[in-house]
Amino acid sequence: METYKPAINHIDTDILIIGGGAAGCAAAIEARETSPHARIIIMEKAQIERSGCLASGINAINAYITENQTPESYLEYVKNDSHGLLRDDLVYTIACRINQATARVESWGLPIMKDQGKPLQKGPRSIRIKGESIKPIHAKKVRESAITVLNRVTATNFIVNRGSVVGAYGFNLRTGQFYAITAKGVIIATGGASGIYRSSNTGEIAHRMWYSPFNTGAGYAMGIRAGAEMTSFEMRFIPTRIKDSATPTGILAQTFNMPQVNILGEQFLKKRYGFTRDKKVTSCERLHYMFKELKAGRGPISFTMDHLTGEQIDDLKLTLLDMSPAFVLQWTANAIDKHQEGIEIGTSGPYINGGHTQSGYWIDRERRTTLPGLYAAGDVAGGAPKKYVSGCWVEGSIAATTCLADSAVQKETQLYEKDLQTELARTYKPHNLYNEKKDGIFPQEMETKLQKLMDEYAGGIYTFYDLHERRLQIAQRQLLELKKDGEMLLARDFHELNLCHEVLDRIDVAEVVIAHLLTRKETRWPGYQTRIDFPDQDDTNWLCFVNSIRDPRSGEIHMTKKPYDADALLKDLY
Amino acid sequence: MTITIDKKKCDGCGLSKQPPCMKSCPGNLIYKEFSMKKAVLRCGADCWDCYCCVKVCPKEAIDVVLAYEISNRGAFLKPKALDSNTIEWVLQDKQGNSTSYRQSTQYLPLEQDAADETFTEIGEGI
Ligand SMILES: Cc1cc2nc3c(=O)[nH]c(=O)nc-3n(C[C@H](O)[C@H](O)[C@H](O)COP(=O)(O)OP(=O)(O)OC[C@H]3O[C@@H](n4cnc5c(N)ncnc54)[C@H](O)[C@@H]3O)c2cc1C
Ligand code: SF4
Ligand code: SF4
Repeated sequence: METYKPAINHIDTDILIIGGGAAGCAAAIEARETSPHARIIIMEKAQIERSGCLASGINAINAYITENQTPESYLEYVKNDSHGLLRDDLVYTIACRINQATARVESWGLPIMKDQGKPLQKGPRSIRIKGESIKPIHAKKVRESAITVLNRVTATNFIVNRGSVVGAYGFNLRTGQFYAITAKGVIIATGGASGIYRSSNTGEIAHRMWYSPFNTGAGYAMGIRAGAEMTSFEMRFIPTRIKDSATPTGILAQTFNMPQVNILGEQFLKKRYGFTRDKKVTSCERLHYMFKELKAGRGPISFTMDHLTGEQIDDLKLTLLDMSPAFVLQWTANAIDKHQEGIEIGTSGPYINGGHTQSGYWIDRERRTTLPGLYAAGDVAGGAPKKYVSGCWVEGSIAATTCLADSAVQKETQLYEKDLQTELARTYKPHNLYNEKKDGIFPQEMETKLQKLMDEYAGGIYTFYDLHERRLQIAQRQLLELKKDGEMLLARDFHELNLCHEVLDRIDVAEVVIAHLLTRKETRWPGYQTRIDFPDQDDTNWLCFVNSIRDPRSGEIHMTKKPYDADALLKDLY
Repeated sequence: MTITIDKKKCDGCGLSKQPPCMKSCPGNLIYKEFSMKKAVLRCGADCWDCYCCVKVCPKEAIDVVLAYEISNRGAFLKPKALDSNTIEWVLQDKQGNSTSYRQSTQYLPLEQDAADETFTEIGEGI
């Protein structure tokens, strides 16, 4: 059979934004407001009305400077929660603008819950919203802003000329058409990565996970392949979530004051580990101590809700409908009794994520990546944990402003025929192999194999997320074999072709995750990164960032230790 | 997990090349079988149970079905847009007791793309 010849669309633009989620939409709108005539394109693998993390809706703005907080106090809180290591400059620049960014999205139509004119608090640094349609609200504003949206076009690689990013390739995952978009500046905003590890749920319920199963780490993988510097992939995000349904728990703990107890009914964090209002447990420790309880045989861990009135429970259900309607159904179907078992807590992930933890592109204060022409924002950008949706908006805005300013002085955006042909061959290979009736592997099979090996040897739930040098080396070896098998992927149609690229991307991300996990020889974030062979925090040697660059030619991953100097990072900021 | 599309209720949204259910799925999991005029789910295990398709179906043909391993049968949850600012959710338990929740929202129906009309699927269902 002949090789598949897709229709090829070559489009030239000023700004290309990859991923039309929270950060991508904010970037596009900011770019339009700054530059009324710029040509702006969003390349989005789904449909921006319902894509990414926000598809189902959310019920809170989790990063907000409330009345008795300041950007400084916010930074201090996040720094403590990240065990002393983060990019102070990135977190601080976010903190200074999150309220403004939120007000902006409110002006697009987002309903924020208020009490006497003031935003209703969810927790100390968060506010409640009626966010069911937060994503359609973004999309409406994008459409009103004369921005070209290419829906169902999934990005596969950057167009790179002499080390600079000058655009991206992608294909329509329904029609199979190919896109080569050249641009003066490119903003990557594809979110984080799920599905690198086997999730706590498997089989039929594998996608009952917290993070979007459709954010597959494409943005990371594209950067890795192009030689961008990445940071902190070893700080994995493993959230405690409502068991089975993977629903976020913040609203239960903070807004509805539901205590976490072990099987004995003890508030174990306080009783057994001495955490109090003053000595706060950090996010990763929450997981760490929950697993300590489980290992000690005092599981399951649950939220109790005896204290809630019927009215409060209805309010809680209504709030959850804004974000996780499936859990409300499950709650009712299983007739969870408020006096009996409570709501059980489990885990979800590990995810690679720059919005809760800090894995992602190494960027400067203005959100430039280390590749000229490429900017990063949102969950794909590293260094700034706990940015959440509002931090993603801020980063989108900053990236757009920088990108516009830089692109005024940039550069020829040539598309070379040779590069185009190489990417065409790579993109459609699984489809061509299938048509040639070659033996091979389907992407679903490869995904399962990747997740299994990451789970068992690279610190998944199989080993209580614990890590050990020798196991990581096994993972590394097995992954290398799996990577070779990537050549044998088969795709029956274009949807499946997309699944092939998703698993190829995940493999590239997984390889970097393992390299990072092997490098950090201490335990910085117990729970997220527990090295049982190096169980202590070692500030003398490891209060520094672990960064990586994969050489685009040789494919070798080079690891570096970036010294951490908070004062230098904050210079001229405050 | 999965959704079910009621074949009796679904009319494929008439001549639409890209019905709202198909358009709204963040995972590209629904396509239209043009010969049958029906929406079809590609793979149940890939579904995120996000309710996006359920909310937009004008025929209320779609239901989220939780896997039995984590959820007993007999309950259901259905959203319905009453107007552009309200979704009514009806939640019913096994015994048939139902509660309804009014969710205030900025419900914005999916806008039509010019591209929708010229849209054709190639390579579908091979
Ligand atoms: C279930 C859940 C609940 C949450 N609740 C809250 C909350 O209540 N409050 C809060 O503040 N934060 C919350 N968050 C976090 C917040 O939603 C995220 O931090 C934020 O949406 C991340 O923005 P982003 O733009 O980086 O990614 P996303 O918003 O996920 O956008 C990424 C976009 O990139 C697209 N994309 C991916 N790959 C490609 C590709 N190859 N080509 C083209 N496009 C691609 C995706 O389809 C998507 O549209 C929640 C997250 C989840 C998952
Ligand atoms: S939106 Fe509803 S009626 Fe229309 S095609 Fe989809 S399932 Fe069928
Ligand atoms: S529930 Fe969500 S993921 Fe599942 S088919 Fe519908 S839109 Fe797609």
